[in-house]
Amino acid sequence: MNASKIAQLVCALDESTVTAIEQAIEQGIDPADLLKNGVIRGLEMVGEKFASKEYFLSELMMAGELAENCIKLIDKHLPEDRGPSRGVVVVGAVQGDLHDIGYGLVAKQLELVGFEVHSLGVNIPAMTFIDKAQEMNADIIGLSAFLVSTIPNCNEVLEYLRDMKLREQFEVIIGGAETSQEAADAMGADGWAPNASEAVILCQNLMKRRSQADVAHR
Amino acid sequence: MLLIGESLNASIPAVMRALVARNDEAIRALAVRQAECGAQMLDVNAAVPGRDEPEDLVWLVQTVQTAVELPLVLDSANPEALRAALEAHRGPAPILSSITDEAGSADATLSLAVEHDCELVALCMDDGKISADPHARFAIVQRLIERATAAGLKPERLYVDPLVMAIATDTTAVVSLLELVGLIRDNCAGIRVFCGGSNVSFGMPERRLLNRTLASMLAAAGVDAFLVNVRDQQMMATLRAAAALLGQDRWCKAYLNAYRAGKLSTRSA
Repeated sequence: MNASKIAQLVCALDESTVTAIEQAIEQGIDPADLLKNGVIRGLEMVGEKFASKEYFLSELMMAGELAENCIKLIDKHLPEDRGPSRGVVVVGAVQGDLHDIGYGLVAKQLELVGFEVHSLGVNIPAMTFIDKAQEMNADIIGLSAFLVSTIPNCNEVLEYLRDMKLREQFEVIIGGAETSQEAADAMGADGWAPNASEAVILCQNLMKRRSQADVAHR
Repeated sequence: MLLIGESLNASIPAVMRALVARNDEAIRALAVRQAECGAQMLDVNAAVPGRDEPEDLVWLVQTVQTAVELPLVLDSANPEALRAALEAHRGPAPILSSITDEAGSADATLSLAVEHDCELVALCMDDGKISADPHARFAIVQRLIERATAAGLKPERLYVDPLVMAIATDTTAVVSLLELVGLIRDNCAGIRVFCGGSNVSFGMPERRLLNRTLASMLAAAGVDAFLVNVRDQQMMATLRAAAALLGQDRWCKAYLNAYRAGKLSTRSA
């Protein structure tokens, strides 16, 4: 048993993965390796199959649940101090939008790779995003809009942030079925992603940029 | 069983383009097509961000009414759009869709329904998260009924929409939905149930198969009104069969007429 076999099991949505990880840990395989090159890699492979339309949404959900169980187990064997969180994200569906699937997937995947995620729910007013982001000292605000009619409510959050002179404090990203890079650019957001796996990469890149900017600032 | 055509909705890109371009021919054709497919009412929705929804909905209502005689479901969360559309609308009173259990626009729309003696659709949600628990959602239904009754709407003028959720993200969603419909059926005399949307199959392949299988289950559970893609011939055949099987089609007359008209063929339209 090794990490790449674990990745294959996760990708096959095999419910014996947790047992396999137990065995791997008993055999002395590094839990951090099992996490990164096993479970997380397996999730990425599922994401690729979803993007190529081989896998469907319920399979993506199942992979999330499986990964969560694996990570719970691996966590027990990792050193206590895993270092600081990879970043703080406040995420939810904007006002008028009741679609909880997309942002829920993004929240789950971000959590799995080590972000501190605060999920606000659906139909969230602009000011609630901003209040929560300030309260949690967030790095990133993630706005989900599933409908053409609710995309302007993403823009509203950005406008409030500009009015309140808080725009520079947070990275703001948008996503959802009818959103696009063009829509994100038009409203002056910091990023857009077409799906949950890309959203994770986007957040990781934004965190890199933030830490570099932070160093430069000093 | 009431079958409502869902297709005249501005969230569908082709309909939005026709609405914005004031392409009355495209709108009329879609209305006529849905009537030919057996729709008994047509839902009209003109919500496009950044546009004047009252003006757009009035145009949509007037255009549809030059093409078909079918009664309409005026579909908007904006009471001003509903008011304008009601004034432009002619013929028997339309259904208003919809309110949620939130103060403000719900009360404005309720008073319009009372004033114009319209039936009204209430969505089973409030300003919080949508709960998966059928009993929590039933509590919202009870508050909606209280709100409507307090505003002077008779219970038999109210439809409740229990909201259909996707099974891809919660495989118990339909089990909970059927339980909720049962709770409404057993505890809310006079209230009818309205089910719309093809959300159930979101993220899954062969969506129409899931949609029509659910429709058949909902019919058996006692749902009264279906907002569906009436151009999906297999969906319509399934609903006609369900009505016959549930004793809602006297001597199976509608089923047999549909058979003779070639509408029960399982080939796609």
